[in-house]
Amino acid sequence: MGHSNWAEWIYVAVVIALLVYVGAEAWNIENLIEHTPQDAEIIKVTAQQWLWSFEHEDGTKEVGELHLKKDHAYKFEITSKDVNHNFNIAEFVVLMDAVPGRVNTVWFSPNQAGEFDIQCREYCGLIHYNMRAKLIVEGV
Amino acid sequence: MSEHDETIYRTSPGRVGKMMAILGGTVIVGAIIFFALGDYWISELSPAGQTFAGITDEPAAPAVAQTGADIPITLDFIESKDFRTLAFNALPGEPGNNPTINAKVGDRIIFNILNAGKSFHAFGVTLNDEGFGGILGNSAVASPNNPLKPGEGGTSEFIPGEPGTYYYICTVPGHREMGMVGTIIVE
Amino acid sequence: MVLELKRARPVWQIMFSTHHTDVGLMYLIFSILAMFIGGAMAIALRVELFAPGAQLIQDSMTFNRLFTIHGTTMIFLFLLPSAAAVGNYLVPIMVRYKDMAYPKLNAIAFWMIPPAAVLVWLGMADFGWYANPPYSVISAPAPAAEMWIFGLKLLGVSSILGSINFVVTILKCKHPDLSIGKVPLLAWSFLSSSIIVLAAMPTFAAALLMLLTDRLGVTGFFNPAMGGDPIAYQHLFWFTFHPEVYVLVIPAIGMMYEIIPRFSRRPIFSHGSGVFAFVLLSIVAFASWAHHMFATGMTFTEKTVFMVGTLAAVPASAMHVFNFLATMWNGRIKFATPMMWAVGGIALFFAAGAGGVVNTAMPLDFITHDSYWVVGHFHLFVFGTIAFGTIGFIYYLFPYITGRMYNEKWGIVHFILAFVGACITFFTQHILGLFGMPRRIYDYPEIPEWVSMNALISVGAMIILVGMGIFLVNLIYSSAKGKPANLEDPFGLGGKYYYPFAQRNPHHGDGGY
Repeated sequence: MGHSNWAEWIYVAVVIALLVYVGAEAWNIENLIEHTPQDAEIIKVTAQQWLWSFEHEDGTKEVGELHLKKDHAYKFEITSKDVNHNFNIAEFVVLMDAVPGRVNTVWFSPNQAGEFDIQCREYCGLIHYNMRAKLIVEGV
Repeated sequence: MSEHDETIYRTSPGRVGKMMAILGGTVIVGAIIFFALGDYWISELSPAGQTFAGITDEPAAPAVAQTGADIPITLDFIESKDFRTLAFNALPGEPGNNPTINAKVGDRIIFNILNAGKSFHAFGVTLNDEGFGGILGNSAVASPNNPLKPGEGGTSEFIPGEPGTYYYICTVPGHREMGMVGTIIVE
Repeated sequence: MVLELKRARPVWQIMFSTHHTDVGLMYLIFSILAMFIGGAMAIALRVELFAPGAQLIQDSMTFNRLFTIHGTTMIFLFLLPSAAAVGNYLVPIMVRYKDMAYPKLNAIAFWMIPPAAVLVWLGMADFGWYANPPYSVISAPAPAAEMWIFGLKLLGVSSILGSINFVVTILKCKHPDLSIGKVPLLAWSFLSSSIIVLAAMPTFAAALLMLLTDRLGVTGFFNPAMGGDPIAYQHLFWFTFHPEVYVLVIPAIGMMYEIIPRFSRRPIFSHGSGVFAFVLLSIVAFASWAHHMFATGMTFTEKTVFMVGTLAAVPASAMHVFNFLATMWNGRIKFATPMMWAVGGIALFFAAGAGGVVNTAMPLDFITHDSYWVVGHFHLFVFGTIAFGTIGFIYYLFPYITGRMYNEKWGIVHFILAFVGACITFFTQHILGLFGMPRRIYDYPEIPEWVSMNALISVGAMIILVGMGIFLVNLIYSSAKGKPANLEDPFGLGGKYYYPFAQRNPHHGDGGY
């Protein structure tokens, strides 16, 4: 090295600045997302090979389908009966592993009415590819 | 080792060809072993898996000799279009859905099983009123890890030694909950 | 190398040899074979995924086994052995020693790999190359799973033995007149990656053993029915395999450090920065493993720690990219085949890293986790960077190993097909992931965007296939009938660019000449 490398220092500084920005912004937004509202209705989600079943607060059970209301906050308590699955409603960016022996939570509030897909996002065996359910959001 | 006037090669093309033939032959033998035993490599459950599914070595009921009549029954695995509902012979609401079998102790129930759906299924008789384990005697046709593909079928038989309510189910996890279960009432 | 023998040897003499060039050659041939086998599996997968419904593969169990063994083959049987091949060939020469530090151990480390490959390939397990429990404990069929576990045990031990050899050779056997700071960057890359393996691999060996005893029902480490925690396995696995991905990439970057200065006819911009970046990357590699587990239900603080750890590794990689570009700047570049591969590799490395920054931003991971975005992202690394660097280096070493030149025109055609194919395949996979398609699925519903993108991705994969076919023919034909190479300057750069190490081993008397 007998030559100046100021360009390298500036380049590294720019890279680090960009990364700090990404990290700070991510920290900020994650903080907001993780804050579950108090009035969120709890839905118990049970994943098993290869179907989804749901239980509402009032005891109503649904298998393969979930009926929710638009603009209400819902908190999912997700677990599995056998192997790892992942509860995913892609349209609303709901994503959380269903791990047996453990309850994971994630919340959302659907802001659109209609029919949406629930899919499994963690490899769970033979029919992982078809472990789907329907989310039906009723608008008021 | 240090005079080099012309290029000298590591080995000769003929020898490389011989080595490739030997290795190629080994690969072909390996492929034959793999494909011939294709189903074996994926046929068992691990011991922990068997415990989880409630599968044990001893039969849940002692082996019984046939003292009564033969009861043949044909059961087809069928699925609804959206794969949400599964059943034997007919979908819920239609006649013939999950037929109930009546039998006496000592009768031999002969199951003719066919996978008339698009997915995988397997068959067995159990005393458990939920889940896919506890398959009795020789009643199993295929298994969850080596299931019947669409169009495949098989036969098995079951001789009840005790009166009670037995269930015939699809032993693929989850399929019983989706509707593939029927009862066998034994007096 | 090829020139140091008086007459053609019987093949078994090469196979039983412990000389570093022979062991390197065997690693190379095995890894290229594994690349084609893993590639054939990938093509089978892409043909099946071309459209919804069953095409080539009639059941999902076969599909699941194929993607598991595709991943296992490519990582353990192609990428790791090809790095070992290059290292074995060149590290002793670069440190001016006569062979590796432990030649017999070296040969043993190689010969463990074919039996391990047989175990893995015959069993064809179906649980994904991660082997996550509880599926791999209670649901994955036997004996395939046990064969995979034993195969990977052997491969892990082979990797550790090879790493011991590299570390001792570079640190202890280097020539007394060669200071550690002057050791070439390719040797530094092997030193870094070997130290990472030594620190990280034993954790996976433990996890494999625990998985096996769990399967036997003897223990319940990861089986909730016996009081265990499946997520513990993921920590053990990723503690090894996040650093392991750096083990894969660092030698490829080292290979680019050989190609780029030579074909730019300029010295490396900053040797010191290269060394610093390798060492920093090796250390920071251990700080980021749980970014693979953001969806398992980790707390906010845990995720923040691993996000920061992941971001911290980016400047080190960025320093390498700067080093390459600054070396090429103002150079009289010869865009021969090895150089094209190296430059293409840098471009895709940059894209892969950028995608990785998106994944590590915690909220964005909820969109990309376990979707085709991740598949595109890591393939840009393993294919776009590591395979590109490796293939370019194979072209570079070709004249030295065989004494003949490969066909340059077809080498460039191969590069163009691979680069275009890689862009079509892997960038489209990123977008497909944003549209929500999960990974490891045998079939998918008829969502129009998914259908069209999957078709495009499969076309891209076919383009890569054509290129690889050309590569195979080029390798075989040229090694038998190629034009004899000028070994002083095979690429016509002007001889002095091959300094600082001579092509002939000076230990062999007469200054190597």
